[in-house]
Amino acid sequence: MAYSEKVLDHYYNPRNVGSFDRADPLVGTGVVGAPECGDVMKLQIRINEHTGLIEDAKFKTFGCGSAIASSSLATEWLKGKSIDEAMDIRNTSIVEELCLPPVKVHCSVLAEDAIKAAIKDYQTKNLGSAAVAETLTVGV
Amino acid sequence: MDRKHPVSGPGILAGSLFGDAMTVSAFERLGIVPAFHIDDALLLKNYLHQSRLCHPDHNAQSGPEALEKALVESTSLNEAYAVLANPLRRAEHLLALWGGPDASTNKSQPMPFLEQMLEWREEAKDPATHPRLRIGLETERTKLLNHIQQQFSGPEEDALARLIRTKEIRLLLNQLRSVEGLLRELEDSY
Repeated sequence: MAYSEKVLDHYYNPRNVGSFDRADPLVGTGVVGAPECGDVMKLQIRINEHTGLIEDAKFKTFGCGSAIASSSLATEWLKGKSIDEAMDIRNTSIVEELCLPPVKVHCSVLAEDAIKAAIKDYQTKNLGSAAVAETLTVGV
Repeated sequence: MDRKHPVSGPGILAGSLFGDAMTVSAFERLGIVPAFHIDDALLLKNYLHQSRLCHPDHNAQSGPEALEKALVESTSLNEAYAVLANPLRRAEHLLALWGGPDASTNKSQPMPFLEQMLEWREEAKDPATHPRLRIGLETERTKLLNHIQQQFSGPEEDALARLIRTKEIRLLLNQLRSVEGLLRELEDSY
């Protein structure tokens, strides 16, 4: 099966490979995997504390070219978006942009799952600290 | 055909789950009591016995219809044996008989396991680590198989507890699939 040019481009020049400190409260981390092929994808977002927008995104993916391209593209799209906009990213847009064939659609699903997991992680972390802050205020 | 063993116990449905043409489970096909832990020697004995009966060579003189039937039967017998002889496939089949979620409906894996997979895959980039990595993966595989065995051999329980148990087994099988996938990749890289 031939990869599309866009997939090859992301595969040979992946954007935003790397990681952030996952303990940072402004960072959301999503790790997802596909049991059928053993692919693992880690995607992280960092939120700007003043604007609330995603200021940076990084990924690390072990998998086929399409999985790497899907996550690389996802990090590009995430930058500058609000959380709500990021939640709206659909795997079908990734399929379209990268011209993924049907057998590789699951790679784009993995990327969408990773985005959602990263956002959930960020929200859980910050819900937690908001609750703590509230309790402290009440306590005072 | 020898089907001495009863197969439909409480909560176990006879399903056509490892081949559309099958109306009996692989356990039933091979006269093995449905369980994750099976008697390997008995499995082989029953398989050899039945495969002699329906082997196409054995039926070649009885006309084209008998030969056709023998072909179909020996194919399904081989498939049933392949399912039961492989722990992952046996567990998948048993889980399906229990009415549990299949590999395509639930793909979740626990977070700590995914983190561990990330580390293993990172290590796998350096071929020098492969022998050590393989030992780690084999250990994990054994551990997962033990957990699967425990889950399958738990006490009789109500439907809700059974449902929770099938989800737990699905989670374990998803991890086992990942581990076996990586082991295969290491194998292929040699």
